[in-house]
Amino acid sequence: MTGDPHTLAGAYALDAIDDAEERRLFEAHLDGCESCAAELREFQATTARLAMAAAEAPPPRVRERVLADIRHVRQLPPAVPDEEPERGAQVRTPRPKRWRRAAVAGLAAAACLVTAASVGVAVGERQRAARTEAAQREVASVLSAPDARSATGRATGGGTVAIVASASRGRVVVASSGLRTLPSSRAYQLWLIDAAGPRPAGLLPGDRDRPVVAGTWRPSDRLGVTVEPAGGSARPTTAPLVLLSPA
Amino acid sequence: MPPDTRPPGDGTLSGQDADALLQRTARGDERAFERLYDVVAAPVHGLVRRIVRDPAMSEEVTQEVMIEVWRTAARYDPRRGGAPAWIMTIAHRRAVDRVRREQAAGEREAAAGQGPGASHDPVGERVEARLEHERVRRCLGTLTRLQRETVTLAYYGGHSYREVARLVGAPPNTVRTRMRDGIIRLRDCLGVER
Repeated sequence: MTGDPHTLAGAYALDAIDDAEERRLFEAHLDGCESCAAELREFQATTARLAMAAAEAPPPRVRERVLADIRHVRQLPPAVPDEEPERGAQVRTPRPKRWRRAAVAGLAAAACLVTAASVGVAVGERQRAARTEAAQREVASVLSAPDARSATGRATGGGTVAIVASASRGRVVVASSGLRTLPSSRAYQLWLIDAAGPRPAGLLPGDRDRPVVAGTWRPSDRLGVTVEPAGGSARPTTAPLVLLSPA
Repeated sequence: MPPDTRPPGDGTLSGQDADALLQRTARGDERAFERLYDVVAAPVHGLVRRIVRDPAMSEEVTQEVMIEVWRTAARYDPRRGGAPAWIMTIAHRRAVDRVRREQAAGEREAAAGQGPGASHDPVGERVEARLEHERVRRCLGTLTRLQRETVTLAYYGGHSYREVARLVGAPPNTVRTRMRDGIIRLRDCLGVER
C-alpha cells in the first residue's frame, strides 16, 4: 500500500503535505476519482471538528480589527468554470471540477503537476497546444487510474521528481521541477529498475516542466533518474539522483 | 449529532449556518460576515493558537484568516466539504505558514502530541463548545496511540507527515496510513456525515 495516493487522503485532510508537488499530484488524482473526493470531504469535515474542539475565543479587539479591515478589502469574484461539471459521469473519466478552473481536468492536472504557480492554466494552455492529444490522454489516463500510485523524492543536487504509476495502465508519469540545468551535452535519463536491472525509459524533455509518460511500468519497478550523455545511454553511467518506488 | 440543532453564536459550528452565512458573505453582505465571524472565530483562533502558540502572533494570524475568508468567500465551493472545513483549512495553512516563516528566525518548540485536552479551559467557555471538546477528546481516545499521535501532531502541531514520521520514529508511509486510519476512526466515532 505504500505510495498509494489513497493513503495520502488523511495527510491531505490534516494539511500535512508540505510538498506542493505531492499535494498537486493528490489533487490531480482526486479529479479522476469521485469516491476519493467524497471521502476527502468527510475527512475534512472530521478534521474541522478537531478545530472546533480546540475553540478559544479571540480577544474582542480582533473582531473590531477584522470588521474594520474588510471595509478596505475587495472581494475576489467567483471562479467561473469553462464548463459545468456533469454529475454522474463515469468515475474513471477525468471530470472538470468547478473549483479547478481548468477546462479539462486531466490535462490541467498534468500541467499543474509541475507548474510552480498554483494556477497553471495559462501554462497549461500553451503546453496543451504543443502536445499531441494522444500524449495528453495517456497522462490523464495514468493520473486518474483507480490503481494509481505516487511517489515524490528530492534529487541529489536539488529539485524534485514525482511519479504516478498505474499497473493497470502499464504506464508511469514522471514530472520534475527545479532540477539543475544541464549543459547541452547532457540529459536526464529515466530508468525503470526491477530485479533484472535497469531498463532505459526515455529522457526528460528539455522543457522539464512537462510531465512525460515513461516506459512500460511493472508493479515491481522503481524509477531512477541519472545524468547521461545527451542522446541517452543503454545502461546508467552515473549514480541515480533519485530512486522512487510507489508500490 | 445533527449540526442544525445547535443554537447560533455559541462558539461551535453548525455546518449549514456557516454555509449560508459564507454564501451571503460572498455577495458582500457585511452583516452575514459579522455573524460568520461570531460562529467561526473561536475554532479558528483555537486552532491557530495550538499551532502558533504565541498569543500576539496568533491574534494576527486569526485576523489574517478572517480577512482571507471575506476576500475569497466567492471561491468557496460547497461540494468541497462544508464551510467550516473550508475555513479551518485556510486557518491551518495560514498558521503553518506563519510558523514556518518564524522557524527561519528561531527554533520553535515542538508541541508534541497535544490533544484538545491540553487546551486551557477559559471560565466562560460555552456549554456546547465544552461538549464538542469532550466528544472529540473521547473519540481521540478510541484511536491507537500512533494514530492519535500522528493526527494530533499534524493537526494541532502543524507538522507535515514527514516531520511527524521523524518525531514518532516511523516510516513516512506508515504515518500516512495511520493518519488515514485515525481519521476514519474519528469520522465514525464523531458520526460525521456528508
